[in-house]
Amino acid sequence: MAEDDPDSRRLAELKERLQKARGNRQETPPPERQQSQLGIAFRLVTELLAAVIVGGGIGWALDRIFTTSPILLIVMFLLGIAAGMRNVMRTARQLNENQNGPRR
Amino acid sequence: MASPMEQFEVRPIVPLHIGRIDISFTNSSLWMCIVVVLIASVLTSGVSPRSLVPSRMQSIVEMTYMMVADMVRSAAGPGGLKFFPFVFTVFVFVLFSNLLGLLPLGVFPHVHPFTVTSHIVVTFALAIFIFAMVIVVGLFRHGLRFFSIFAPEVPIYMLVLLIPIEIVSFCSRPISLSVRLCANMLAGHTMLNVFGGFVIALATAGGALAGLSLVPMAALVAVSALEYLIGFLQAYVFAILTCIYLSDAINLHVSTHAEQPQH
Repeated sequence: MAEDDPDSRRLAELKERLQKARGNRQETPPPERQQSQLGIAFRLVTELLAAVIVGGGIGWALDRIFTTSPILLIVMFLLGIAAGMRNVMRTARQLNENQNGPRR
Repeated sequence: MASPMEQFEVRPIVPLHIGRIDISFTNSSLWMCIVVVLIASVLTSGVSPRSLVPSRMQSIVEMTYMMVADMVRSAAGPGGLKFFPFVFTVFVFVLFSNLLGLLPLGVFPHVHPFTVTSHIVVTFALAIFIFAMVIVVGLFRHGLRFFSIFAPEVPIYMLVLLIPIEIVSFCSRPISLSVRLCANMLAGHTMLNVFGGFVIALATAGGALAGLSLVPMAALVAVSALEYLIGFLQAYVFAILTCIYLSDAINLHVSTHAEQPQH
């Protein structure tokens, strides 16, 4: 009965036509895969810098509270650099996965 | 000639003061209102026909919806779909602010577009809100176990060093998130302005130099096109990072596992 309904028949036809049209076209990759080299570089730099700034900032603030200047600033700054490296590695891994598809 | 940074100046339109706090209605607030009104009207007028075969407008709105829904599902898992409305709001707001700032309204006197997202205050407010939400959601879902995201799966003696590093890395998220968006907008718009300055300076120099002004003009066209792409891409990156951070809070162990396997 449903087949006799002109609307549902037209709908089925439309679906077929759509599928045909879509089949001829390559799926566009998600925007993150189209990211330019500059964009990637910029992203890595902000990840690195942000962690260093936060680390240094926390150290500076703690130094002011405990008046231990400049020990905590130095320690937290170094930790900030380490955290920045970790951020960069994590981001690079993410970008890799986005580009090559998830690993195995 | 106007300095390239003049376009980012915040000017009060309706000066308002409560005590010593300045809450003036500025050009920034005006453009935020425009962004919100435009989003609301585009989205509602787009879907209001509710036709089975969508018009162009409806198609755009539906595609945006599907794109963000796919993004949330793939980055935060099905559990993240509860946060779809939030992510969608953030994405559309950032996208419209980025794109509206590129409108060539400067040709009219006394009118010029203002990019809301080129100010670190705005992007940082968004980022710190997301950051606070991640913590609240994480604590709410997992209680104190939420803090295990600071402890990667490594030998105990390494934790002494790694936990502070992870904490600093976690705290750096709102800063990298906001600085990235803001700096991209700032750099792009300044670049456009500087190239525009070259065109005018060369064209008014007269003689053979006037012909040379076509070179920065061509560059300007290319850079403008790039700016539209960057405006979209940055909104996308902002939204997908929101999803990734939320997914850390929602699926505590899935995400820590997914991060570990390579070695």
